[in-house]
Amino acid sequence: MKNCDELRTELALTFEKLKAGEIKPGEAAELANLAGKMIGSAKVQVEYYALRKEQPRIEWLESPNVELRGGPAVSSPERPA
Amino acid sequence: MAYANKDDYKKWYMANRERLIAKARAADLANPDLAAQRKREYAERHPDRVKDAGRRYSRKPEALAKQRALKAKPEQREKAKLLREHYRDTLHDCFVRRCLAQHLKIKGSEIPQTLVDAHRELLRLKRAINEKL
Repeated sequence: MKNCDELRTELALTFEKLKAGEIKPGEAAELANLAGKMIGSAKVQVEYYALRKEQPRIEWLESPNVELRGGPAVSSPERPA
Repeated sequence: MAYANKDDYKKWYMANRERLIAKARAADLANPDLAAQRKREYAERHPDRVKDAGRRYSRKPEALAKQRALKAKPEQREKAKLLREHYRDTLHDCFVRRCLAQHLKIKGSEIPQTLVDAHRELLRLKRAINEKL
């Protein structure tokens, strides 16, 4: 998982598999636990930069489709328009 | 009305301020559609000014009293509760942002949308796991 979007896709896929009964709840829980750790770590990074009043580009949080959709590249913690 | 210097204009404006405000207000009331359009354009041009004006108004005692009176109404409280439950059940942006920011020193609005979307999927998955277990 190279970025947040891929994590999201993976989570959605796991959700579908769980609903279809293709994987056990325990397996899904493992992925959910790991995803929670990754999101928590990104969250802390965002907070750190926000408190330092810095707005660096956080590669992991950037969506590869942003440019394709015509939106601006996300370089700040603000929500893209 | 062209004035050679700003001071003269300021004097003239202060002398005629009430009249000009009343005139503009009357014109707005006479053409509500035009006034609304102008307000929308102004808000698009100066979103920060509109936000500041809103903040200034919300701090005024009459606005606070109105807010308190509204909050005290049982039907309003019920409505707010239903709305909160709707946000929780549908994993609305505002709910997810609040969850993400609850132990942080930043506001939910400062969290990037990609992170919010990922956390929403995580919450959905966790709910499904809890249902299955």
